[in-house]
Amino acid sequence: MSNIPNLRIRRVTAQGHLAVWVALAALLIFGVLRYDNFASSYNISSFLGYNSMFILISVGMCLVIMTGGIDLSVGTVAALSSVVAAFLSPYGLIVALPAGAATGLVVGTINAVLITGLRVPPFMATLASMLAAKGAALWLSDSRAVAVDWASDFTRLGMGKVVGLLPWTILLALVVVLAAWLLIERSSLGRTILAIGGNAEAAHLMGLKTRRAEVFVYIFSGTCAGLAGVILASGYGAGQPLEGAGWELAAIAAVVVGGTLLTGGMGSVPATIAGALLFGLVLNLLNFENGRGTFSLSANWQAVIRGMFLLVVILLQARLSRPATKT
Amino acid sequence: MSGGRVRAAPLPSSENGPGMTEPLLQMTGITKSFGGVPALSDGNLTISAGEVHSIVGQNGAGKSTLIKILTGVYRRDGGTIRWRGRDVELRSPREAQEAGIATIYQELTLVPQRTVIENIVLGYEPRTRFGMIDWRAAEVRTREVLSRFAIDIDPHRPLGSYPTAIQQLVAIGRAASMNAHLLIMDEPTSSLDDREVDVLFGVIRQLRAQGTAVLYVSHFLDELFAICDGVTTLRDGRTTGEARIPDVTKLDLIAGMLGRSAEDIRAAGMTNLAIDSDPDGDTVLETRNLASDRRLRCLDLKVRSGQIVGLAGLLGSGRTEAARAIFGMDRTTAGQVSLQGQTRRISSPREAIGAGLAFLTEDRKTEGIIPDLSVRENLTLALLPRLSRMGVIDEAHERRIVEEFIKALGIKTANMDQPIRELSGGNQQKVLLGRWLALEPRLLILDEPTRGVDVGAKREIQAIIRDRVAKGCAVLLISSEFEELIEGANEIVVMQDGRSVRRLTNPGVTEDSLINAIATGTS
Amino acid sequence: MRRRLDNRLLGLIAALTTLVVLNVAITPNFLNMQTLAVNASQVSTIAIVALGMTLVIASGGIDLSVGAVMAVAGALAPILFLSDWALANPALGLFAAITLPLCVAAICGVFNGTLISLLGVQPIVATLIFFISGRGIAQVMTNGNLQTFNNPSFTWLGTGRILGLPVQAWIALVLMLVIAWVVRRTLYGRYLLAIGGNERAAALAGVPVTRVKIATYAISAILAGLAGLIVVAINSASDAARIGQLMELDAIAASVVGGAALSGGRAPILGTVLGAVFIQLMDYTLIANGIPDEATLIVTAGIIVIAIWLQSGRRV
Repeated sequence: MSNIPNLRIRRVTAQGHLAVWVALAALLIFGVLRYDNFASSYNISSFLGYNSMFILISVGMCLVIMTGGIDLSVGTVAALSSVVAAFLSPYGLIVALPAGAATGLVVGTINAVLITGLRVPPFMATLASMLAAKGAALWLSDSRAVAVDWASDFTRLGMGKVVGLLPWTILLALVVVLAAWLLIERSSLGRTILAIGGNAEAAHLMGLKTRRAEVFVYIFSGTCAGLAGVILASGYGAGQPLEGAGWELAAIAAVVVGGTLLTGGMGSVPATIAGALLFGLVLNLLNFENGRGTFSLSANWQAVIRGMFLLVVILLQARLSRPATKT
Repeated sequence: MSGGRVRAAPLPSSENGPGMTEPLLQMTGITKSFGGVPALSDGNLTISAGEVHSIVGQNGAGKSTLIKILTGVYRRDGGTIRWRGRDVELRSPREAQEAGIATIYQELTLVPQRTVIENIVLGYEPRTRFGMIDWRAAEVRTREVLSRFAIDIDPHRPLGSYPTAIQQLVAIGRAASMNAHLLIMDEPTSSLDDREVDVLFGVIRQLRAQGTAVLYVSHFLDELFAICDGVTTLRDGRTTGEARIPDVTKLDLIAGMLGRSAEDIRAAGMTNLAIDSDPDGDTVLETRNLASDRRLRCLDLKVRSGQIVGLAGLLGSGRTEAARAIFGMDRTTAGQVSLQGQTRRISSPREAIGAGLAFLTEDRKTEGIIPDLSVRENLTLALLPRLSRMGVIDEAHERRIVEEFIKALGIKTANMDQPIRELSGGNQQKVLLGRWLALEPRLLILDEPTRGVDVGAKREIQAIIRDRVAKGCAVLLISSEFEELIEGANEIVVMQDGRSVRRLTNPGVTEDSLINAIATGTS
Repeated sequence: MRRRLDNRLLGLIAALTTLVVLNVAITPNFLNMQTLAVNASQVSTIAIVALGMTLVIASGGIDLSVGAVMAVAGALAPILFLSDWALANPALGLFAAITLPLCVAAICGVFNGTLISLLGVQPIVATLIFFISGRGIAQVMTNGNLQTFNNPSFTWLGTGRILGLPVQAWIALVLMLVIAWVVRRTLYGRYLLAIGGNERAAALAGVPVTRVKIATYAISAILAGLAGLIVVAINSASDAARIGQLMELDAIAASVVGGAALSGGRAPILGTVLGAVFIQLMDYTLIANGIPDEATLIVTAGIIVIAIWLQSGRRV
């Protein structure tokens, strides 16, 4: 029962989201100053193109985490959808894109039913659908990569650019991000998602339509993963059933880095995107550093660096929110 | 039960309220069972427009069940609800809200991380033509609400940055702005100080004047007499009385809740505590200028063995904080604590236990019981290190001790391995008391030990405490029930704003003198 | 509570028995020693890790780093006993090759536990760190190379047999008994359940929460390290990229099917092992009867969902 104005809450809210932007800016400046080709159109477009998949998955995960849930299935759903899209690539983007998205939507719906209908905890439900999606992907593809039809316009999504500079993929991701951001800021459903946080019960007592919100976020997350899978197939020329392992955790990391708490209640779509970009940027910079020859960093080190990075961010966030969490 | 506060004389209740037309709300013959166990067998509640009404009853009487049926959280098994002249089905909290029944819960269910504006309009945001939220209209609505209730705050700041009292007023404002016809307030004053309670009552009177009915649920009977027009009494799942406040006395209400006659209660004395020990023992605990990082500013206290020292004060005066500081839960920032004459630095509950202290906390649900564990496991939790050798628990010894305590404390349980969550509140409290008594502590700190416990168990617990004190234990008793302090404590320390300000010695303390001391602070 | 647990356990045993009977009827060669040994071998590693996972889940947390810890331990062991020093002192080398990886694993566990209990980081996030970087560390140690070796004393751990059953099955069995006893009869076990049941109440009652949590994550890591050693021993090869892939999922699945509650406070040890056996048997039943590998994933998913649903149904 606190009668002391809790100014710490205000500080945590602001600082949690601010930190990631500062870090992003710092790294960008560092990169521009240090490496010759860092700011080149080639680097920018390939960086954005590659990270568009992670951005999509991260924004889906952000919404799910805002409601206090989690979606472990996004990685394997992307793999599954990449296989589906690759199979349908001969019919062109107009069929393959919606099909891939629909694949994700279906799995997302299954998640939503399990979680809101059968009251299965999100961790377990999405764990199960992650396994099921993986199984389905392997089954459909016979455990092999599925080549796309190069004759159709399918690969234009993954490999093409708008006005020769911006890859279509990042445009697609941007559209989805914008839609999500608008939803959160300007719609009742979005405010409900934000308010559910870790306490769905309280939100329900307040008269909020919590069920609707919970169903929505899982379907949305699944659809995002489906789109990411289409980008995967289209950008690499093949549907890949084995890809996607660990993607969900990369997305969680991006969301956490962006300041959205896993306990919910606080969330920011833009900050999550910044978090995803931040992780990608770290790798990008490492590649450049490798190229410079200062030290030779094998691919193995990348995982280590990513982990250490996450650790640093977590420690920083722990320091920031520490006073507020003391019992 | 008394709350012991200073109150302004109650305003005369509105004369043209009930009786003119059909009442706003009429719940008749409500029944509800859970898993075959009936919680309500005949619930009745009638509230008129513009009336401030209250429900009283002990734990288990069906009070909260009736309210949850009204707010759409539960579905009733039988009976009818007539709301604004029509029979209704309230199938969800949202339906109840849309019908005009708004609830302000004790644990405020707003979202502290979001701004005041967002909280006020949450779920009912004004829309623009395109269906998107119109934040400007939201701000306008918010400012209207805030000025109506004279809340002077910046609506763009997170709700959580304001004290609980303000948050509560915002919650009320939100409900009022949703055009509620009935506002239900659940224990609204539990986090408020006297000044804030007056503000709250002013708001309630305002609501009443504009025709909004209020269902005021509180166990502080004095408050009911200050603000309510009518009261409904529940006992054992049935409505046993419906009356207008001017027509009843506090004793009548308690009698109705207990099913005993008012005279019996008066004759037996209100509690089972009595001062019969000679406070001549050694000093067990002494604090000087004790301050903590949690609102405790200056505590001077001395407790001797065989003595009960009561801590009195309004909510927010720092009593629980005092206990927490002594027990090592909060960090000490100034002053000192000495146990048995030796200065000690206690920085964790574990250390405190090792030094012979014990602390029965206020909230057994969040800080007391381990719900899935058995009665035995809960009872011995703090004692375990003494029951084990080289990390292995001596089960036979454990069982012996648990049996002793079950008998000594009169704990009603099927067997010692029954999960504690299946026990009633009173019995759970006894198990927790046993947890601490088993340590044979030198100082026992009790924070509202009989709260939320039915009258029978209450008296048993008080007897147990008295017994322990007679055997030489020192007790620091925090209680909002003045009778417990007046009849049981050798000495009462009055706290205000985190400081100990007065000391009253018994015998000689009366309810009036205690209230006086609390109200005036320093002499 | 004990009554309800027994119900669930009985249900699991019943399901298991049904599966066994089914297999005896329709699967060729089910009852021979070879089949039993193969199944026991696969189950054992999962069961060992799952035992640790159950303890972590009982404390109210989760450990996503077990697969990575397996990889690290599995990478370290061959490096140790293939080193010159070890070749010169084979007995000591073997000893070091077993204990040092376990020590390193313990350190990983302490790291996790410290982040979680001292810094208040959420278990998913904290153990995520090793999940992301642990395998990378292992690969850095081995330079991404597959290490093969020929060390009969070490490989006995994975391929040896006692009374016809693989060594690791015995290890799993012994661990199960020991851990079950620890949970029921020791101070640590009682404290663990109290913390998972209501951490604040436990802290107030003097339970050393930080110590218990760190110990729990350390135990989980050590068991994962042990499993890593066993896997390496089975294959006589250490492939840092693949050891323990998805192990965290298998372990969590086994724990949950066995009756652990994700909210903490329950540590069904026998259930965990039976859960692992059940999932393994289910997979085997499908594969041995011609259903493709991938479908088993879907089935496992289904089992997990059913187990959880049953759990939430029974719980009052």
